[in-house]
Amino acid sequence: MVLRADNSLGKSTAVKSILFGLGLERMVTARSTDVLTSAMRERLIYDVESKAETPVLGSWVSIEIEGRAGQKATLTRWVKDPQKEPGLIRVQEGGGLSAGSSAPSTDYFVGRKGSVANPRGFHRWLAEFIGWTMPDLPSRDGQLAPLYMEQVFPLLFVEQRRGWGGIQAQMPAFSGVADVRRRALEFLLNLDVGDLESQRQQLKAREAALDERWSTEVRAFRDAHGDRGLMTAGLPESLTTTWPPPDPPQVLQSVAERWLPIDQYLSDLRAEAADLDSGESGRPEAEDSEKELSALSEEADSLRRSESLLREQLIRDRDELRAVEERLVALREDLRQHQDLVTLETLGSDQLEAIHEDCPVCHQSLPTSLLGGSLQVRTLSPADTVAYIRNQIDLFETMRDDSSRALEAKRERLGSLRQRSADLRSQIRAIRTDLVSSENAPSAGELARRLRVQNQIDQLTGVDERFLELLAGLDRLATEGKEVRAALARLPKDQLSADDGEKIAALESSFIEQLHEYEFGSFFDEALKISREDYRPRREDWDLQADISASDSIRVVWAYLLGLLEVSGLFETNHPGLLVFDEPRQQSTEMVSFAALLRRAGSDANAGQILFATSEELDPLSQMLEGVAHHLHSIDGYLLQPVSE
Amino acid sequence: MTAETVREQLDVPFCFEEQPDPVPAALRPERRVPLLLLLVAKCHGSGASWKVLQLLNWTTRDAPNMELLLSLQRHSDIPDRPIVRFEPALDRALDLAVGLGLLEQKTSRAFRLTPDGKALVGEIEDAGTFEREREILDRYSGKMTTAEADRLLEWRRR
Repeated sequence: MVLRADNSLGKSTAVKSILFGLGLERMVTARSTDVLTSAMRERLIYDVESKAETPVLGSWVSIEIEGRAGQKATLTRWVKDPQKEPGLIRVQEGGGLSAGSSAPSTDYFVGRKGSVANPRGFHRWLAEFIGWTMPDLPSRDGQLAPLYMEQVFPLLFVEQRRGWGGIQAQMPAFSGVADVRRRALEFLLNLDVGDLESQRQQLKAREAALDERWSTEVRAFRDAHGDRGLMTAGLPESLTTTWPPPDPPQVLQSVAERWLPIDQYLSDLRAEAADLDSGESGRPEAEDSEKELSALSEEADSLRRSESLLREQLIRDRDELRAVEERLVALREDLRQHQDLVTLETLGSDQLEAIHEDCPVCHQSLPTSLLGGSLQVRTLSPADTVAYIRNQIDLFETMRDDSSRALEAKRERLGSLRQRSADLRSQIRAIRTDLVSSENAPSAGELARRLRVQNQIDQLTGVDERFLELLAGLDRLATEGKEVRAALARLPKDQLSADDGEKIAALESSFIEQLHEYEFGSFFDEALKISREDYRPRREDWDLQADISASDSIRVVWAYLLGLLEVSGLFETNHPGLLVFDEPRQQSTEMVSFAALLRRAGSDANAGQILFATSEELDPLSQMLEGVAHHLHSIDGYLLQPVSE
Repeated sequence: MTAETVREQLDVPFCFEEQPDPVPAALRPERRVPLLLLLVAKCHGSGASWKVLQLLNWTTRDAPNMELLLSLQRHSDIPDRPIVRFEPALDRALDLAVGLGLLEQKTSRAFRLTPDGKALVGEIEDAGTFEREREILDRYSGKMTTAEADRLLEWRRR
């Protein structure tokens, strides 16, 4: 279809109304109604003779669209209306404009949160109508972000003002999708490589979620049992697929100077309890009690000394850990500074090169460091220093983790010592009570001992049970993690599939063929190709558009976007079969080239609908369109007219 | 292995090659000269005095140093922090930068960027390097003058 009208008569407004009607104006502007001129919002001039301005009371855009399966819908969106906001789009099934359909209509919203995901969001409806499933893709912050329709449409719609600056010249970046131009192309051409990347990211997100759950569960267990003299051993802190580990994880209990596995300690305690239950150790003689009291007092003194020593060690260890952390901060700062140097060296600055040369006056070597003094050392290059600092950072990180772990273990030991001290004090009090009480009375010492042992058995049995629950939970996570990692390993590398290769080859062939037809003049085209990495036109690995004349740059946009449409006629793609060129004859492109474009587009009519909006003179345009399948709408006067009451 | 065999094994020619030493970036001319140029660029166009450069150099070493400077500007003090510390490496970098034609020395030890120096400052900014130092310097709005530096340095002695 060719829409012809002279300049400044509303042609571009009409073309941009299509974007507005489809709710895609954010492709070119941040404010929705700004996409349309004031003729739609404030004052309309519709009489060529008088050029009188008429205030706009109300205006709207209605478009009838047809899907691949022949289904039709009529979309209406109000630009100015006392009741209806521009954020509303009314969808009527059937051809409301062509056949006057009276089918029921449904209102949707656009341009606000949820318009893609919400069931009443217009872009969700439009995606379903076109048959698109908009993918979630890796974003710049490592998360997943949706690809929006506004990011695909620059491949289908070239707006007059800024659209001809290059392929995908107008690309909104609001979703944060990384490498969004490449991703939009992968989506439009329905390349497997895009799906693979999407799958990879989803699997990685699942893996990260499993890892997070793993470390949360391990941390929660440790936090719940802190300060009781307990440590876990052999328990990985992050997701592992080597499960169960070769050395089974266990909980250790600090007992005096040793760390005993909780099972062993529990069985010792149970033996002690059984011994107490057997009644063999009845009420002890006063003499034995005296001896025990003395032994316990000595042990309590020894414990106090150990506690005091351990506290000092803890202070020293904390200082050491702080020193390691400070060293890490300094190393990271030194690394950053050296990385700056490497960057500057890579740029090859002449002024900086001079630093490594000899003195221009006395021809002696310039100092390689600012240490001062006559002794000059041979300094390691910045690049080697970067590698050296990275090694140091690795080592210091290991030291920090190790020191933290040792510190935690000492804190636990201190907790255990305190508990033991409290037990001892309670035992001492009980024995003293025994010594002054009647011989017939039950032994308070025995009772206290029984109570302590039973209490410890109960507590540690609870810990043991929760540890087994933790291991069972980690087992499930490890199994799931194994599946995710296996699925990741099975995914082919980020390479084009055979189908992808054929699509890109077809695009390349169409692109080069069209450039021939459009008399592309910047250079011979033997070295032209479509990159297999970012799918953009290249010449000997250089971005083609960076190196050609302005008019050839326009030819490149014609050939590339039309090429995408042609590929959709040969392969299964996501191309909706729509291409809109607003004033494609930019930069005084030759008439002969434009005629060739119209012929080529005419021959592609079966692949979809191509709309040209142009201000070419009618006669030469009609000549160019001879023998080309087309519908020409030539408008005399202003395109926008008032609607009668 | 007998002692004799060991001696025989060791009695062979060997060569010793001195390995280069890693030097902190803060002592490398290729870092300190560009950083010095950034400091001079932060000063009023009439020239940066040696004292101003030592002051700005101290602020770029650590963000809290700049905090103190900004605080003094607002007439409030953070008494437990020093306003400035002298760094000999800066003097050596100054001599080197003058010798390389990146700075010109005016009378009374005041320095100004030469066209080559200005070009290098442009390259540093375009390359996105010295990001942290430039962030710190940007916190001080406008250019630093000798009079303002003197005022800040004398603040505690009033």
